[in-house]
Amino acid sequence: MRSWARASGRLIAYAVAVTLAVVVLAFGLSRAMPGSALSAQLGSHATDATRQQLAAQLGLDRPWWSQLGTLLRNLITHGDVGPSMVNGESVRSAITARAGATLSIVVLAMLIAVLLATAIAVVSATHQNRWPDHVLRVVLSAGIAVPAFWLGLLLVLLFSVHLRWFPVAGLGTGPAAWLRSLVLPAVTAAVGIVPLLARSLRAQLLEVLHADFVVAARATGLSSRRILLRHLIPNAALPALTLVGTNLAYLIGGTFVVESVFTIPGVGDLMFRSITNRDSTTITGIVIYTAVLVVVVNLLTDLVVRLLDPRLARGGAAL
Amino acid sequence: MRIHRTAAFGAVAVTAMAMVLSGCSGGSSSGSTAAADSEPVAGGALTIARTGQNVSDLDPVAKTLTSNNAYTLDKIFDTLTTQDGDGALQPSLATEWKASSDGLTWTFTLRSGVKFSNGDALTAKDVVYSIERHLKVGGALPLSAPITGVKAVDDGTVEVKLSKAYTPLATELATFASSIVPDDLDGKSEKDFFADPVGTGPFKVGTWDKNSSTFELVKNTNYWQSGKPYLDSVSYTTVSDDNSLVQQLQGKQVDVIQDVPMANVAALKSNSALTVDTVGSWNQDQVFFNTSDGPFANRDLRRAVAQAVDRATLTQTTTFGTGTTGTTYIPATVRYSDQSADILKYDVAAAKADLAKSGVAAGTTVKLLVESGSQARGQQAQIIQAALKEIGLTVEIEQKDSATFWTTFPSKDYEFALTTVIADTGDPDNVTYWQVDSHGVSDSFHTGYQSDEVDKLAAQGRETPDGDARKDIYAKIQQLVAQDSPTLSLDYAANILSTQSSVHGIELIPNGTLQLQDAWIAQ
Repeated sequence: MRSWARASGRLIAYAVAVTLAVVVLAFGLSRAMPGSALSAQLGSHATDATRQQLAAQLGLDRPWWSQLGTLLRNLITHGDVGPSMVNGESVRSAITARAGATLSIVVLAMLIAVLLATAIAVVSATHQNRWPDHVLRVVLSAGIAVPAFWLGLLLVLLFSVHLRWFPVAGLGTGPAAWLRSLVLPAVTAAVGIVPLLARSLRAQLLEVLHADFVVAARATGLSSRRILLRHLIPNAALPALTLVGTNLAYLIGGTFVVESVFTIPGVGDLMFRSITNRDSTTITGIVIYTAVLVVVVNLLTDLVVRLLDPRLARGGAAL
Repeated sequence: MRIHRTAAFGAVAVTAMAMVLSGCSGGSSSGSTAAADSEPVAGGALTIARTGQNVSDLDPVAKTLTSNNAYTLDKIFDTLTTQDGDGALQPSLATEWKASSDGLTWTFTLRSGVKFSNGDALTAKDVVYSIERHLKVGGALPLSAPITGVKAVDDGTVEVKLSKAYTPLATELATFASSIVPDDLDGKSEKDFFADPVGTGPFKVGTWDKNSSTFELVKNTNYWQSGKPYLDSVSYTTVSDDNSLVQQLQGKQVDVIQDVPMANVAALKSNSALTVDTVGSWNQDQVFFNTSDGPFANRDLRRAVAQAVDRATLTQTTTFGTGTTGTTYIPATVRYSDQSADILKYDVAAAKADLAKSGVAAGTTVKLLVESGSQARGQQAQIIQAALKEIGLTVEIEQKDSATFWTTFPSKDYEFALTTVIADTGDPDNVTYWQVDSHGVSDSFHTGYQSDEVDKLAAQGRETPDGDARKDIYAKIQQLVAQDSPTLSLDYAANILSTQSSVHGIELIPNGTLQLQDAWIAQ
């Protein structure tokens, strides 16, 4: 167990370093974008005096290192990046107010993706190189190729405008309406990662399928169903768990696009608006909080996998 | 003024697919929402979806005035005068106004019996405070009028003194930034007052969370037009993609959408459950030439470009028949717009002749800076590219998003540029002052255009009372500008509104706002 603790300490130090790098990078990139909050907000009639007043008000007249200093101080003392350049409200509260919607889509999409990917992988692996496997492979390639905003619009046209099963856009009020309004966004977001999950899970299953212990299990006369449930899936699940962790960043990115298609007032919607307005404080805040979330989830996944996998618990290399 | 609209992410392919799926067949037109013959019904909540930013500030003289802030201000506040659906000036808080014979003293008679939403009576003091505050603060839309003093003659009369005669004064006081607020903001701080502002308009703030994309207005029970507004509340949703607007309307999730994508107008018109209203606006898609530096400092080259582009076809194609062909820098909907000023008509031979005269070699590359975010503008840029290829110029198109465009364009780091602009008022001085008068705030709207004759006439136009003499002045200015061609008006876009057919009485103003005091929903 001591080696597990040492390995974990290394992982945590790594996570902290990544977070710090993200803070500096987020700040740098949001400032490196062409255009500024001033040009995005001031009308064409604005005089130079107004422009200078707004620059001073937003702190944009100060040198970059002074702005970065303020950001770091705000982060350390308040866990906030500061006020939004558009409406002066705290960026942290703007993000927390919207995080619920985004996280709900992410969690729901992850559930849908894992169930769907497992089903596809099991069918593919058990019918390797036969027609169900081929058909599913083509479907998966299509899943990767379809842009989320396009798929989202098509789903809305079919299920919302024509069939009226789901609302066209926005978040419903009340638990039932709320869940109903998240179904299409979650499905759209899930489609983006199902192919990745399903392919790796299929590969894992195939590997385990030909392992000695499976051959032995089959020789003892166990039913295929029992072999699948008791031996194959648990052994293929660990690598898949790591995969879920690493795909989280991809899924959050996908959710950001999906939110703007479905007008879900989440963090992604805020991100798009902030980029349009060059609200670099809000952009920096979203990047930092999202990165921290991804880093923490990856860290937890690593730690859990290490706990569950006896080979890694003894201090072996990460997967 | 430039009004900000959020970029639409929709692609041509998506729109085309959407039209196929929604069974678009083009076809029958529907009537205006204003043309309702039955009696208005009181009550109900109206839902409106629009693009752009969430309401961020309700101070009329804030440094930033986004379209959605502006379009909310006029529901909460009134102005002394107002502009109707045709852009004509109408009384609002002032019932009458009159300039002295020398034009230096204006007297405004206030409407009696007007109350703020908190029940306080409107007096001349409130008006004096509001105008003085506007003068002092400036804000996104500062007053251009040469005002030297404002005073309350009595409770119901306000006098404005000018240093020079200024005909557009009454029109200028109709803009969003000239909203009338209570004297001394009721003794509150700016922050507290504008968090829940008190005005004389038909509505007041219901729920407003700056982090939410919905914004709600509720009925002002103290409104001065008795029995109005009919609606109990109005709820706005902002969306970042205009495809979602159309879908929300078709899915009956909202009652009204603004900023309807032009490609969808035909499909919406063919839907009998919906009403589409198209009204001339003060918007125009316009090309601006950098006349102080680079290839377009050459007047003959600008004239060659102006004559090479077939604006009529461009307008028809890119606005799907909803716009009007551009002719002069004063939009057709603005007073004294002179169609005979369209001198440099589409004529490829004349364009080639002017190109030859300019001395610019055939095959020269010119750069067109385009503000992205509008499908129509993207297509217009390509049409210009193809048209100039005809006369032997190669066009390199540089599409930039709004924030980048509005950094590059004002710093004159461009050769010629394409964007959409909007006049603030229906008076010809407004667009003249900021587009072609070199004394305006933006160096002739970043073109660097300077003509002593135009400057002189523009100054005269401001001082001359409305009538034939003033009309002649603007006709001359438009002729001169057309000859010099510092800008090229491609088309005058329409404001497009689409509603469920149960919605009546909404009036669309050329500046893009919706008047809702007469709006009602049929049961």
